Amino acid sequence: MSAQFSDQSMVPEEPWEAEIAAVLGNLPTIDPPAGFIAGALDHRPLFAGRLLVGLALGVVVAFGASLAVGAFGRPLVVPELGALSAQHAMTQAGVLSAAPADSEGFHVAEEAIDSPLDTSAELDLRATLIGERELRQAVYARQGESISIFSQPGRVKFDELPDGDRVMIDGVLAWVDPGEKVVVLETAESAVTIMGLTPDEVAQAVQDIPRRSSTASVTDVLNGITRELGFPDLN
Amino acid sequence: MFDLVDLKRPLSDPTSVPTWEEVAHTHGRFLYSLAYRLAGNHQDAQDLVQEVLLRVRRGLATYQPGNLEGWLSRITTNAFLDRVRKQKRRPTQALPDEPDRVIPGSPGIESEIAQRDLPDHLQRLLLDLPPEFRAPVVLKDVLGYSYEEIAGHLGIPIGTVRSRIHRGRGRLKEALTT
Repeated sequence: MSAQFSDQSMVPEEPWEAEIAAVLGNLPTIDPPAGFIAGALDHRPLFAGRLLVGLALGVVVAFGASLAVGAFGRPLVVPELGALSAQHAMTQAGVLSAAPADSEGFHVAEEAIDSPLDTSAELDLRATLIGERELRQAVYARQGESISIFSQPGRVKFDELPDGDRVMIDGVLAWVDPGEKVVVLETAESAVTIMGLTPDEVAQAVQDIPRRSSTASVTDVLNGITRELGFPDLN
Repeated sequence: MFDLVDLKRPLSDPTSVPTWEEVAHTHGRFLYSLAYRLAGNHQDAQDLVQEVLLRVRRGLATYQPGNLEGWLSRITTNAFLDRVRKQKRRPTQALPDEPDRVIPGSPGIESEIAQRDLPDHLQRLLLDLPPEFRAPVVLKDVLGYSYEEIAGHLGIPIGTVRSRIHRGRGRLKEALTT
């Protein structure tokens, strides 16, 4: 067989070369281990330290190793949006009647009900509930509707969420359903699902929380929100 | 006031400069796959991707929107070659740059390899190539870049690219058919 020209550079390519190229071209894409990319993002301070100050290598490596254990040890979770939506709807009636009740799989966390409430706030915390697998739900009432914020330990497995839009909120990846008031994001420790607020409202809520310092992270801000809602800090 | 960054901007917008986090989330799989093909194992691929993400973060300040994957490929390949130069963990015997050397053809490569666990086998053979040959072969045959693009990525003459790909393919063919 005669040589062929493969591309613009007019390189004579032997037939056997095309065969090799073909088998190489059919090699499958290799997926990174679960949580690897998100874990790498979590290591930003370590990277910065390496770049900016060249800390003693042993210290940096030890610190990085401790971070890695934490990052990769967290479970990947896919928020069960259907079940969460049902739970959100179920608690809504109770919340609006000011009598949040236990619902299937959840019980009211009595100790959290006593969290300080800002009665002048537009949003009013009505209940904190705890479900299975450390799933927590804070129910907030506002002008005849309710908002639920669910959190559970772990990282969000974004690829397994239904079709939706992915947006960034201050560097944090969030999944939003453009047709529904559902936002899923993750903090340093938890997968957070917010139902009843649009993405813009979530962003506005984030904006309304004062920053504790110029370097406050989105986790700080989300902690401010969850503190308002009666949750413990998310990390 | 808290900074809200581009809440409504789709991640796939090719006309804007992505954030570091967007690159990691949207192209992490691409980066990892390329890193794995170059490095040959998951541990080295992970180290390489982390190094690449560092370089991406530094480089985004000067990145001009355009061919993001091409830019990432260039960074990944050069990071890989830099690591090889520094570490020399896996000594290899470089193939000579002899453009006129002819690799004899033989029929039936596909039939020869059809009985094997092809992806793993090919990956092992790729790893046996000297890194300076492996990189252009991966860029050309796995990712589909042109010789010109590869020359630009690696900063070497196109003739050298052509020669190394030819040599690399020849080495693979010999390994597959023996």
